[in-house]
Amino acid sequence: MTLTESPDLLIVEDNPNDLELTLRALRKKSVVSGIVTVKDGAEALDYLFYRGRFAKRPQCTPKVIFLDLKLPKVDGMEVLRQIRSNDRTRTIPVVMLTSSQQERDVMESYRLGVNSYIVKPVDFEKFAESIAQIGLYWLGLNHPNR
Amino acid sequence: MAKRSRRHPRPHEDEIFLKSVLDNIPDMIFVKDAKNLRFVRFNKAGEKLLGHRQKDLIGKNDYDFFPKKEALFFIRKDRAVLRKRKMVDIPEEPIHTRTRGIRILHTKKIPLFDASGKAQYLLGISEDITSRKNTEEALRKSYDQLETRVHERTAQLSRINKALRESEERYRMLLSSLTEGVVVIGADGKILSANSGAERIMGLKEQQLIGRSIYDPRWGVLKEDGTPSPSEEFFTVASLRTGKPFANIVIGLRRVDGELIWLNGSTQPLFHPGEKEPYAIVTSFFDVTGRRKMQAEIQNLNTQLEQKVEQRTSELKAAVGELEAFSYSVSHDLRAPLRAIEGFSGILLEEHAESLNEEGKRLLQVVRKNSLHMSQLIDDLLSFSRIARKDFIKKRVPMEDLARLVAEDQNAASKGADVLVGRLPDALGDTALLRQVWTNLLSNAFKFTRQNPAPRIEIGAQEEEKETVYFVRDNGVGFDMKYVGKLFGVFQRLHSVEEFEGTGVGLAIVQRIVHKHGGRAWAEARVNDGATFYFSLPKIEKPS
Repeated sequence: MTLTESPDLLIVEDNPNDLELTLRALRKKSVVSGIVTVKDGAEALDYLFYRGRFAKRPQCTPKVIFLDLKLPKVDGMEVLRQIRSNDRTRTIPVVMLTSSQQERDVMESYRLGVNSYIVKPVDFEKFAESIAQIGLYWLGLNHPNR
Repeated sequence: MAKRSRRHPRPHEDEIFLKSVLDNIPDMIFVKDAKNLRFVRFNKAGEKLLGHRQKDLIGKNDYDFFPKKEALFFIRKDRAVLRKRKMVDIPEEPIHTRTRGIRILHTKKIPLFDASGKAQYLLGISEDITSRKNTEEALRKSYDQLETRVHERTAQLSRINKALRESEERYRMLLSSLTEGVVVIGADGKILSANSGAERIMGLKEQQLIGRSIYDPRWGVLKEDGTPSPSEEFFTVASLRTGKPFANIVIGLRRVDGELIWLNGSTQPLFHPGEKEPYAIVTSFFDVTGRRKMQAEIQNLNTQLEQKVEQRTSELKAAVGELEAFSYSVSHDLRAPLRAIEGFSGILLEEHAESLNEEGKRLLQVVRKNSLHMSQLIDDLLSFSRIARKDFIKKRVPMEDLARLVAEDQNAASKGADVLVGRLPDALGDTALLRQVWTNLLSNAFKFTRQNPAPRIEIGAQEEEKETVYFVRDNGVGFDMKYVGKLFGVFQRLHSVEEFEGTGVGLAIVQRIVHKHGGRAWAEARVNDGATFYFSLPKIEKPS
């Protein structure tokens, strides 16, 4: 976990391999500077709502959240639900970054207000390409509502 | 007398008195002289009866007034009276009168004697019994007729009686041979008669049944649903009160041994002509206890079956849920390590290429290729399993446009085959699924014609009676019909991965989709002589 004063990106990912590949892809395309990573949904919520070990962290909000669906403790869908039902976090862009192609998951995510739904490709080249594009879009091109 | 009146010129007082007496007697009185049997005296009643005046009669005899045969009869009687010297009673004798036809007389003829005891006169007293006789005759005739009629009627009655007895006997036989119980119930609700069926069903002898009332609480009548039936709802009571027939009413009854039996009963009220209230009702019934028990058992079994079905359904739902969880797992968890293998192999090749020799690099490529292939296998397997659960949106699908579109897409990716699209009838089905069918069949066609210098693919259809058969024909490598049975199985391949890439799921998906649409899929081919893949779909019913 990296902690910066003003993070560009919060990554919620329990698989260290996937996390490493994601970070490598972002670094390779040098998209972002500040990245915060957490290992499960509970940590993600703690981070976002200044609870637990994040209770005393400085007040700041990530520009975009990469959220895995299948997470220990609190799953990605629940994290998304809580982000969208809180006024302070409601407007943060959330990108589902997952292995699940289940139509049910896709539909439910969009229903809860996800901004993008990305199925992680097995092919690393494609994976890196997708991550970079998504990062560029939400951090570089998109004008956050702030 | 004329002689005497000549002797006594002045009528004697006695003579006047006698004449007056005689003339007032309603019967005919005449006197004949014993010697010649000539009339010497006649009273008024005689004049009236015979229709002759006294003066015309006196001095004449019977031959002068009556037919010879009749006169002879009178005279013979007269002679007999005089000879026997005693009265003769002639109860009936016909006589011809001048004005009143033949009359019947009851005559008494009496001899009158003189002082010396010699018969001097014959006195006749005749009562006209014609009308009495006629009345008697009429009476006798009517009596005879009556007797005849009585006789006839008696015979008739006896015939009817016999017929009745026979008919009754027949009905009794019929009733006693019936397995149904039949009882006749009087207007007072008491049983008048019962057949052997009723005895058997009720467990009572006819003599015990007779006189027992339908209001008797010992029957313990239950309604069809098993609740006690109020007396007025008991159908025999209702039938007796309303005069209406009832049919197929199911009730419960207590037999004398306490056993509960179920009966199906019907009633027929009997009426005397012109009366509105029945004088009796005939109730027939049969035992449905066994049937009811069986019905209860069937119902019980049905309930059990339903419970079982419900249980199985929920088990199945759970199994499907598990399967979904499983496929979710497969999709998510199996892919993650693959991604790591592929990703890190790639990184190794990219960032550490200088520390690897050519063989090391080749081996790493093999690792990457296989992880990608496995990823494809997982994807295909997932999409195959998804078809079974996918919601099915049925609508009219323009198959010709769909096939053409898919073919163009595929052809653009390949090196360009000669594609012919025939006329394809529309189908009823899920557009996305049918697109998948065309995609899989056409990608196969393009794939297996790749080695042909002039690849040619033909898409067509033929309409059968109830279904449309669509086909994709190619001039590719074909296959051995020996293995046609394996063709549509999951992960079944007839070619090596080196020759033709693929996971062996495409045709399995085709078959599953076609089956889901109520159709069939099959193929024909020869090695190195092309293949034709067919699938059929039910025809769209024309709106009538």
